[in-house]
Amino acid sequence: MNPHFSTLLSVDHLVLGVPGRERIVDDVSLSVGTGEFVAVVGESGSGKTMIARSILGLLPAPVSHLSGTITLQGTELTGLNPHALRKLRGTRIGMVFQEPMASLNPAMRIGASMAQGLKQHTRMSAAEIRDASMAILRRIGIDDPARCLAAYPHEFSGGMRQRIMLASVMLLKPALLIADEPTTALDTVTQREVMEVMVELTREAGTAVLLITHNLGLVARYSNRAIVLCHGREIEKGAARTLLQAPRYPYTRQLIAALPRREVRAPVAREGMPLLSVIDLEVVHPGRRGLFGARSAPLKAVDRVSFDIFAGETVAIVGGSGSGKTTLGRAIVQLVRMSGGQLLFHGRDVLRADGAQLKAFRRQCQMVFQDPYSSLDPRMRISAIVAEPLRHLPEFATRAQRERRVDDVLAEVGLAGFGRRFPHQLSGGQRQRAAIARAIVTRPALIVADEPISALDMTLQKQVLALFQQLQSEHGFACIFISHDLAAVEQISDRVLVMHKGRAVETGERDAVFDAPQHPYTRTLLDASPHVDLPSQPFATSA
Amino acid sequence: MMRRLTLRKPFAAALGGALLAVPLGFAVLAIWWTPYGITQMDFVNLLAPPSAQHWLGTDEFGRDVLSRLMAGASLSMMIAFETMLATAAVGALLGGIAGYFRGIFERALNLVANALLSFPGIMLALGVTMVAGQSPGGIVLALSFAYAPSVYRIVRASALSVRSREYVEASYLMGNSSLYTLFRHVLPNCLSPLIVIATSIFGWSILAESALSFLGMGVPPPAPSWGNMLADARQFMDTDALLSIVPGLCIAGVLLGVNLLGDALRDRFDPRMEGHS
Repeated sequence: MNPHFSTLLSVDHLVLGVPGRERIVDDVSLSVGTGEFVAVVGESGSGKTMIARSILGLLPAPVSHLSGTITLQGTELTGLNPHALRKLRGTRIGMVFQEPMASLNPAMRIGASMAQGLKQHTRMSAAEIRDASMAILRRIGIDDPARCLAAYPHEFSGGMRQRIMLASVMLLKPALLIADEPTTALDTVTQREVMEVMVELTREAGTAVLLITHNLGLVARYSNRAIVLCHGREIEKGAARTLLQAPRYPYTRQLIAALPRREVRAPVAREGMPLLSVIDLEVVHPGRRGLFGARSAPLKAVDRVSFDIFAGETVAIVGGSGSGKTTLGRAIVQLVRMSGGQLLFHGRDVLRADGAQLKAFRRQCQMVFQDPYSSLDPRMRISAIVAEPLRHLPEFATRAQRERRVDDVLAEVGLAGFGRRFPHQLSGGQRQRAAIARAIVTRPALIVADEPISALDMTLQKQVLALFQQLQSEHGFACIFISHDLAAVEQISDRVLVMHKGRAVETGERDAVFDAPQHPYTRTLLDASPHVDLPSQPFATSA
Repeated sequence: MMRRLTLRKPFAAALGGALLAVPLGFAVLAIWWTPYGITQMDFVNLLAPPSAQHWLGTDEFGRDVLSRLMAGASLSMMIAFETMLATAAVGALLGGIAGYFRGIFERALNLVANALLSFPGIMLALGVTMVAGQSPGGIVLALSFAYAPSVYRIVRASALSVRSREYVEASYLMGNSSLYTLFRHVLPNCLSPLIVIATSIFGWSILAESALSFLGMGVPPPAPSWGNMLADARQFMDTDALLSIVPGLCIAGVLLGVNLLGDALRDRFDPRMEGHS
């Protein structure tokens, strides 16, 4: 307990679980002082969300509170009646959830959503509520608060919505804000904006923050203290800085070691003809046709982007959401129709390829998708999924040939013996390994990986990145690595292409881009990326 | 969440199975054997109450009710089963094609489906039977016209969501043909809703066949179906209620069984619903 803060929330020896089954949270104690910023760190399944929910009395059905106490300024919260709990929620404890798409009611105007809490818990008049809402919206950087109040949630981007959500929770000036992975669904730049707004608003109101996260970068940058959880047990807790810079326990060390960092990469010979040349690639989405036929203006998702990639090389495409990086990747594998430009594979124009050439291109160019939960057919066994790309190849005409290759590839990705399973019987990391196995089974020359690790936990990210690097050194395929995670990009790329609003604003060697960024957007991106190695300044706000 | 379901699911499935298995057993038995011939009349025992001789009594012509009920089960369930297969096959194929390929074909099929759905099903079936003839085959055709649009709509909606899944895109990237993708990836993943709607259609068909027979447009007498037995029994409702109650109960029981079993089947056929082993 930090002596500068008086205790606001104290959780003692908390045990949560389904009676008669394994405990989900086992003997966890933590405290939050007034105005303090405390982070609860853990991977999925660590029980961190359950702790947050138990504080608000929002445990999902079979899970219940088994023992331990939760006190807020001396009031015991466990076993409190629903009426008293409801009064507590909103006024004393506010909560922000991960998914900004789901937390604002899409059928309500922003103004109505924001007014709910104040109407419920205060005696303010409608005009006063409106004034208060406008004031706080202005504080979070919304230029036209009056228009915002009359708008619906879908009119805003994810980051905007999360800021609005924060504003409406903070309107009631709760003593404690519980933020459950508030920025996980957002890209790096937006994440930073939301976190800054959160720190600013809570500091102003003297609100303490309990941040539930798996992102150590956020812990380093914002929190005073942190507690590390694993499988429902507390591993380590203490001042955030000491915890990150001098971790005492192996699990914490493992988490910190899992953070991607720059490694020396063997130089790639870029001679002769590039494997793939992208020349002035353009993708224009025609405007949406409204209900009565009027079309909105067409949108240039990718605007004349050019780059080369050589055999064995990794080119990272980075940018915020909406920068066009995913569309660019999809256009390269021909999932999205190009509106203009050329794509030369081994010097041959892919768009003018005949049937046989296109088939060869397909075989040589594979994709790994972001979400391992929707990229594998749930009705097929892993071995069938991995074998599927082989069905067009003459050298794998017999079942035995296919089985041998599938077994080889599954062993390479560390899934030997998993072939008989269905995707739902695998964990997220194993699923992504299966997806990688499917991509490399034809021994392609190029793999386009679209955010392949952003849906995974920290330690899994490290493993999957390592797997990528190992496979690449064994098979020598080139890789287009699309990501908003600069730390991962820094670890595995040779060259980096920065995209912003559909254009390639900067292209260069990895070290040059990271150490001496030329374009202002690249600098913004780099600044926003939370980094543990940087000297951490708790409560740092943007200058 | 799963845990709670597993406690009562097996019971529901077993009950559904039993409700369906008993009439099904009798229906199969009736193909080779019934206690009496279905048109065999016993003039001594007209409208007789249940007795050792006739377990469920006799009707106005002295025909054995149990025998006719068994034969009726056979006919009603055969019609329902054929209708289910026909609508599932046609609806799933067209729905899958429309949902996966989109375009002009989808728009045309939607138009047809909406047009068919804008008639009450039984009216449509009445019309088609009028043209196709009052035979079991005609009734299957009529009911298929009435129900195929529902299957089509459900499978199409399901295919629409499946087509944007990344595994469908991955299939495209492998160079698989569209038709292969449709049959290998899209349709199998539309199976769960298809099973539920198909089992419902089995139930609806039994009900609709009864209604058609009741209206005199169904299975022509003297062949017995649960519907025309109910229709014939109506005039004796005051004096011999059992005559209407028995086929009525059969229809209700089979329908309940079908619904319970349909839910259980859906859970069984979706690999994601199994416990994570």
